[in-house]
Amino acid sequence: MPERFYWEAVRDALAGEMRRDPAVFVMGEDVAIYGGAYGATRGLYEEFGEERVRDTPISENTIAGAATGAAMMGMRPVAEIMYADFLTLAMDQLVNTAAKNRYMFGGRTKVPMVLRTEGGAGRGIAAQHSQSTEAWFNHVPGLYLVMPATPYDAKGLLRTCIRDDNPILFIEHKMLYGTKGEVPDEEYTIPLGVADVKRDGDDVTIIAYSKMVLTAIEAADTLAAEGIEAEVIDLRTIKPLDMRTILKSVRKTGRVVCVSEGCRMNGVPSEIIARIQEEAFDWLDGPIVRVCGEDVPIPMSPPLEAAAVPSPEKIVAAVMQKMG
Amino acid sequence: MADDKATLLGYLRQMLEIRAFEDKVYELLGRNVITGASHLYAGQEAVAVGACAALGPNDVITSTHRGHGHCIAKGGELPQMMAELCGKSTGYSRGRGGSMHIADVAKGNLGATGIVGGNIPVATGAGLAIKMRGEKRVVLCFFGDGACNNGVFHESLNLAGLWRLPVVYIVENNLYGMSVSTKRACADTSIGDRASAYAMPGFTVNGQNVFAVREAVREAVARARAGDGPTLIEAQTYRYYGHSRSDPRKYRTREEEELYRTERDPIMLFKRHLVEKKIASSDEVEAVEKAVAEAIEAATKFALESPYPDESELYDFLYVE
Amino acid sequence: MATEIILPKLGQTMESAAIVRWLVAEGDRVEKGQPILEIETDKAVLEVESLAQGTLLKIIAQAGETHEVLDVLGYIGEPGEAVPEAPPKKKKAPKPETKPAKPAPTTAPQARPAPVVAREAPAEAVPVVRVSPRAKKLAAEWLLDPARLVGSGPQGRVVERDVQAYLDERKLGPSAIAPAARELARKNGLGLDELLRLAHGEAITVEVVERALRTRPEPLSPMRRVIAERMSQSARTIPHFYVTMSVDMEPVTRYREAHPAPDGAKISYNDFVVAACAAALREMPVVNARCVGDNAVQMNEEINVGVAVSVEEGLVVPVIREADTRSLEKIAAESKRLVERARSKALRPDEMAGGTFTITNMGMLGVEQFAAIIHPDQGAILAVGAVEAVPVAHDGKVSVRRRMRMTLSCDHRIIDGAVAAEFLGLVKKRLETFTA
Repeated sequence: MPERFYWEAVRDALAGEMRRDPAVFVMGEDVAIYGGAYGATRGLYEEFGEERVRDTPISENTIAGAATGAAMMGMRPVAEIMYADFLTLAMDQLVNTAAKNRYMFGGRTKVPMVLRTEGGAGRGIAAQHSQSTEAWFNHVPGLYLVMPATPYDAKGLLRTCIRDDNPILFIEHKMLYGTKGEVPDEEYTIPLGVADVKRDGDDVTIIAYSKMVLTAIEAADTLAAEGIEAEVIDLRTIKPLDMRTILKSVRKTGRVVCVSEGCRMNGVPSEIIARIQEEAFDWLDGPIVRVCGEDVPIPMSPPLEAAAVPSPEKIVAAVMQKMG
Repeated sequence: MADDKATLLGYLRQMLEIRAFEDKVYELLGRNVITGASHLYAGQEAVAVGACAALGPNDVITSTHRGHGHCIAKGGELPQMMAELCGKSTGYSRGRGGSMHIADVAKGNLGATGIVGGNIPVATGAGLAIKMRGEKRVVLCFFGDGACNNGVFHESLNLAGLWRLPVVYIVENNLYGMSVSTKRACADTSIGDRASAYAMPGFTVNGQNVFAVREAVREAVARARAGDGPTLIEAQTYRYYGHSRSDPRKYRTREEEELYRTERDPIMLFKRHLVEKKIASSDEVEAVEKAVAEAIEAATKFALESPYPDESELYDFLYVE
Repeated sequence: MATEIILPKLGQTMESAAIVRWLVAEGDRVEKGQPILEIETDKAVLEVESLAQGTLLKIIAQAGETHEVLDVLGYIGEPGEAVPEAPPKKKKAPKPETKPAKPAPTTAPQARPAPVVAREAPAEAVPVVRVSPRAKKLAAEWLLDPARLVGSGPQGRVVERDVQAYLDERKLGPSAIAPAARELARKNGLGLDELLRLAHGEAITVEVVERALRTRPEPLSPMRRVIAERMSQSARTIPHFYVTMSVDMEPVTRYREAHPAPDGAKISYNDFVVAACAAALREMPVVNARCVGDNAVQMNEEINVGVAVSVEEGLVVPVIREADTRSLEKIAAESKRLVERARSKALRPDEMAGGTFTITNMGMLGVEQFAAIIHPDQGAILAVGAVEAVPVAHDGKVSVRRRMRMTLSCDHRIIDGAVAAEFLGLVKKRLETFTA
């Protein structure tokens, strides 16, 4: 099977869907001629032209709002917000209009749009360009939230998102674009709401998503050397959440570590942990542990930036110390 | 080009329906039958009716929190509107939206919004979709003077001007945001002039005159349909009620209100035009008024007798399954 | 009919308003939409417009009054129309049929003590045994109390592997308990250990569980529990010794035959013993006393003789109060009454309280002699055997006479052998010289 970069997988999903459905188009800042800040739309402008690959002015709120309006009229826009940090500028249209219109109008409309963005630390570009903001959007009824960790998942999930009739926030990770993985050239989709067990194990369940999946797998390798076999679950979609896979693993191992790059307070793990203890309390052999980003804006200085986010060592330490 | 009597009586009927609907809503608010917020359009009828009169059957509109008038002018059904305001399951939005969130997307009403300016980007996107598909449709985007100072106004008009989108942006300048007048909110109160910043024409019209509004919008719609891009129209008008029902309207004088009600009321002016120009007799006018009163009563009755949605339906229509 | 002017709800939070002033007077014409009065809410002064056209017939709400939303403030109509004298009850707007709200938790209005927030609660501060939910679950399946296990988890928590280790030590695999047996045991609260003991290394079957149920200690009845407690206490704290004497009962027997009770029944031997003891106790009060705490003797003014009565579950001891003041007949009647009440479980607590000396008689059961345990609040108890015809030396010859043996148990802290012998001697003399 061919190997592709994560950014290629995103681009190929977009190209595939645009070829398949003329209603699909891309718009955002620097997506056309420049090919996207991280290359995820490279080549699309050359193939589909400026009608379907649109550079926009720097107008985040209207990028989200125009996508909403176009979607309500039957198009399938894939709009891009360059940094997850800038979602704040698009928040009103995304949260108050895109996510709510179907419900507020009693089902008389639908908003089949995808809003792509990327987040995460690792490039030393500091607090306003390195956040993981997904927790804010997990709290918005009406919006789906998808965060693939591998090129294979990115391509399959993005195709599904574009074909889905709901407004979906698709968050990539800037440090994943350069990762490589096996990706089929043929068309395939991955359903929403299905997590993926990336590594089997009997001793402890590590739940992660996006870049933290890779971090968790590294931690699992270290743990294996200590005789502890960790099961790593990649959520893939935060909403809809696959509790079935999570609970199956919890029943098997009884020990859970939940990892997220977003900062600890009110992060996505808080929700997952609440649900696990609601639905599988009796299967737990100890308290569930979070390994999250620190509650600080992401600093620029390399050692501080590294200290602000989870690492394989932190995950290993959490498993060893707290679980006994 | 002379309008036929039926068309003009049609305008009268719509304006009377809007006025009577709003007055009835005000009464029902006072009786606590309608709860929540309601922002009334009375006084601005000529803008909605005149503007929508310029649209074709496939054109679409976006509306605002003060949107009952737009909805009626675009063919909204009174019983379903009243039921929606009462939160009943037979309302346009199945009771989930209320006054500020009525939509009839199938009939070209992309909906009202409670966010000031919230539909300006949506209208812009709708125009984008139309243009991309090569359709000959136009979007009519209603908003108020208050929205003109919001970021999305600038972003959207810029984008529409840049991409030559078929959107007619129509500002209903009723002189006041909530309590702050345009004099105290706008660095330059000539809102129509802002168009020049976005490479589109801008006009100011007398919003109390159905014909004036209709002609301005017709021109803009023709331009858009021909592919020549967007237009900004400022319709100068006035709202009678306060921003909402708890507004004591201290920011205006009673004299100003009296002036508009007695000398500039759009319905009064239109009726006078019909009778003086012998287009219709006062009996015919009265007959329309009577029919409207009956329609409002029937709509109210329908709404009051309709059931509320059931708690078990709380999660319905959140996602497309 | 006149139209009501109601106080409208001009604002989502408005509940009431004060009338500031009317802008029109009674008798004035008003148009629809015309402001007719000013009201003041907590937020602003607002105008109320007329919803009808007509004449202001009557003003009901006067300036200065406060009214609630939807109250009737006045009437508009045509001149001469009838107007109700008293304003009708306020019409309530139809409210949606909602389910009654869940009652607020009752602790809400009271100030709750601030929760103790510890960043890392030290293990020593927590007195409870920690058991993980998973371990608890496994232990429950195996009828184990996990709190009895030693925990190897963090902070001494009992975790799954601790329960598993316990099971592994005893080589308990999945077939160690039959499912039906497990259910039966769980329903009856039996534990793994007792079942293992009875199973003798074999699998625990339903038969084993039933055996365990049969041999399980049953709790004592309340009466038994009291008796058990008292007897233990006595045996533990009172140094007992025993003195036996036998009594010639011919005179009593003859009296008995000659003097039946008023209802025709014979006075029982025990009644004679009660009478004799009561008299003897008057002469030797130390036998009517008790030792308090090993170093004090408490005398009793009254002589209240308890008579032990055997009942279904055990023993009760009703008391014949002030026995020394009663005649034999009265003693007989009282004892009969008490025995009947005892047998029908109708004794009141005050009929069993205050005893200072007890007599227990197993004569009717054929017992010749026995030694009883002293009541914890008393100093002595007399155990009476059967009256039997036996050959005995009497007046230098062997003859058959009715004799009875009685054994006095005494508290050696306050009564010595000589005292006991003297007391018994008094009782014997009374009985042998009985003349009524």
